[in-house]
Amino acid sequence: MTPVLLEALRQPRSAASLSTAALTLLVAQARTTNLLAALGLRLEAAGVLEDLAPEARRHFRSAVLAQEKQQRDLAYELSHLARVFNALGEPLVLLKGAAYIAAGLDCSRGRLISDIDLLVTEASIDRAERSLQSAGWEGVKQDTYDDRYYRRWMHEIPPLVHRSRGSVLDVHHTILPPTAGPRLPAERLFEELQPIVPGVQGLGAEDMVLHSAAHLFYESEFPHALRDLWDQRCLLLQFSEQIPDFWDRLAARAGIMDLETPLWLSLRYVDMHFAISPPPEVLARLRPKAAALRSVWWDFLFRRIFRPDHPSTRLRFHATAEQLLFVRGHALRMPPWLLLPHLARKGLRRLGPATEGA
Amino acid sequence: MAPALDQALRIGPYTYRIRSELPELAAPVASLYGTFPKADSGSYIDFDVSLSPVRRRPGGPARAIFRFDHRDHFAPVERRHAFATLEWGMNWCVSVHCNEYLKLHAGVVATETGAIVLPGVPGAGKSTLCALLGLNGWRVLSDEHALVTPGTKEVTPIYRPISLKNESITLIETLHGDAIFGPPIVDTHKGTVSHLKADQHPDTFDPAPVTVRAIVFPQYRADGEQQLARRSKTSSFLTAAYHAFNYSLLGTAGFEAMRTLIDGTPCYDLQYRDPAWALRAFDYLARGDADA
Repeated sequence: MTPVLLEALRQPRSAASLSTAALTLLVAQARTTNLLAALGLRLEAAGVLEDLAPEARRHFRSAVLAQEKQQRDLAYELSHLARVFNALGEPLVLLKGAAYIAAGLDCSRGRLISDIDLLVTEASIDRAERSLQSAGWEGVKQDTYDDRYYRRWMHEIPPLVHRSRGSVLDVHHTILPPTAGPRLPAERLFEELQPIVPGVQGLGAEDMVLHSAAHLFYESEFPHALRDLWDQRCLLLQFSEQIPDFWDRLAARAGIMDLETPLWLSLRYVDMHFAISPPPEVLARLRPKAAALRSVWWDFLFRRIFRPDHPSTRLRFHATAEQLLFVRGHALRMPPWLLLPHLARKGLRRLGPATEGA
Repeated sequence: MAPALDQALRIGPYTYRIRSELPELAAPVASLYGTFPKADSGSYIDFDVSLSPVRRRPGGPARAIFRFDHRDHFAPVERRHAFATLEWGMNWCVSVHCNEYLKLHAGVVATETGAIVLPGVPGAGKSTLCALLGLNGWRVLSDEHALVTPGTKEVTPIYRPISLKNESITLIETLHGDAIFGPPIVDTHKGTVSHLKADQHPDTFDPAPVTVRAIVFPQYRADGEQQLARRSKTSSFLTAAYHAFNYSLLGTAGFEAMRTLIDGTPCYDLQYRDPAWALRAFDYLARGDADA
C-alpha cells in the first residue's frame, strides 16, 4: 500500500478526505522524514490545510514556523560568511539545503537544514579554514583518527561550529570523496557557478541535481532518504520547466562528471515515487550496464529506504536493507584496502567504553 | 507480547498515546494518571510515545529508551530511571514541537480569579510552589509550560504530575503526609526526583484557557528576606523571554505575544523561605487589589 505521506505529497488534495487516524499517521510519517513543514506548505498551497482537523493543522503550522526561523538564521549566517569570503578573495559557494533556501528554489519550501555546506577549491581549503576559525567557527573536538580520516580520505575538513551562535559548517572541496568510484573533475564545478544573491553563489542547475543525486545514492546512512528524493523531484520539475533542453544538458553533464549511474537511479526512483518522467531517450542514454538485473538489487534496497521510517509503512526486511546500504555506501566510497581497516577500527570502538552514550 | 501499558490520554490540548513493555511503569502511571480523561478511540494522537527495554551492555545496568513516533531521539537511560524519563520525554514533546503557543518555561496556577504564571530558572522553586498551592486548594495548570495564545493574555492548561526534586520532596511530604507521589527515582542528573499527584481541583482537566492575572518570578532563599515586590515590565519581559522555549523561534510574533501578555499584567518578584508565608502572598495576589 502506498504510504499516506507519498499520496499527500503527490496529490495534496487527497489529504482533505483522510480519517483522523490517517491524519495521525500522515503527520507522524511527515515528521519522521523531515517533511512536515514542506508538506504543510504544499497542503496550504493546494488550499487543503484550512480544511484539515485543527489538531493536525497546528502541527503543520508549528513545523512551518520552526522552518521559517531556520531560514532567518541562515540569512544571518550567510551575511557573516559573505564577509569572511569577501575578505578571503574567494567565492562563497553554497551546496544543498543552504543553496536551495538562499536561491528560493521550489524545493526550499519547508526545507530543513542541519548544517551549512560550502564548496571551496582544494587549493584554498586551508586558508578558508583559518579564516573561518578567526571568525568564530571552531573545529569540533575529536580524536586524531577521525580528524585524519576526514582530511586524508574524505572531501571535507571536520565540521566547524560557531562558538557563540552554534551554526555548523561543512566545508568541502569536491562533492564526492576522492576515493569513491567516479572520476569527478571537481575544478569543472567552479566553471558553472551561478550567483544566488550578491556575494553568494551556488552550483549550476545540472550540477546541483547531480550533487544531490550522487549524495543520495552513494550514502551509507539514510536518515531522510525520502526528503532527499523529494529534493530531486522538485529540482527536476523546476529546472525542466525553466531551462530549455534541461534533460539533454543534464545527461551530458552527468557524462562529464562520471555520475550517470546515480542520476539514472535518481530518475528511476523519482518516477516510481512521484510520477515525474524524463524523456525516454535521456533514460536510455544514462542506463547503466546490466540495469535490469541490477535493478532487482537496487529496488530491494531503495524501495525500502524511501519508505517513511514508521511502523505503519515499513516493509519487511527494512533493517536488512539498511544494513546492506550501510556496507554498500562504504564500499562505494572507499576501496577495500581503506575500507576494511576503517570499519574494523569503527567496529572495535563501538564496542569499547569510549563511545558510551553516543 | 502485549505491552504492560497502552493508553491514550487527554493532556491539556493534546492527546498522548503512552506505551511501554516495562511492567514497573504500570503502577506509577495508574496512580498519577488514573484520573486523567481517556481519549476516544479514533482520536487524533499528537504524541505517540513509548519506553522500551534495550539490550544491556556487558556488565552494565538494565536500560530503557524513550521513543517518540517509534523513533529514538535520545540515548538509552538506566531502566531504574524509566518513569522519570517518560515524564521528561512527555515534556520534551511539547517543548520542541508546539509553536501555536508562546511557550514560557513556567509553572501556572489558578483560582477562580485567574491564573498566575511563575517563570523561573530550574531551582527557583516554581515546582515546589505549584505543589504547595495545588495541595492548598489552588488549581495547577502546569509546572513546566505556560502555553500563551499569541494576541491574548490567556494560558491553556496542560496539567501533568509535578516533578519535585530532593529537599522539595521532603518538604511536601512533611507538610502533607497524605500527598500521593510516584516512586522516588534516585541518582538522576538532578538528584532524586519524585512526581506528585496535584489534580485535586475539580477543574483540573477543564481544557478552557484561563486569563493571566499576574506574573510572579519566584526565588527560594533558605536564609533571606521574604518579600513580594513589584517588578518592572521591561525586566519582566526580558526574563520571561529568556526563559521561553520558542520566543525567538516565533520572531516578531513572539515579541508581540510577549508584549500583549506583559502589558497590563502586574509582575512581581517573590522571595520566600517559609511556605506558609508564600501561600499568604499568593492568596493576596488572587484576592483583589493586585490589579495593574
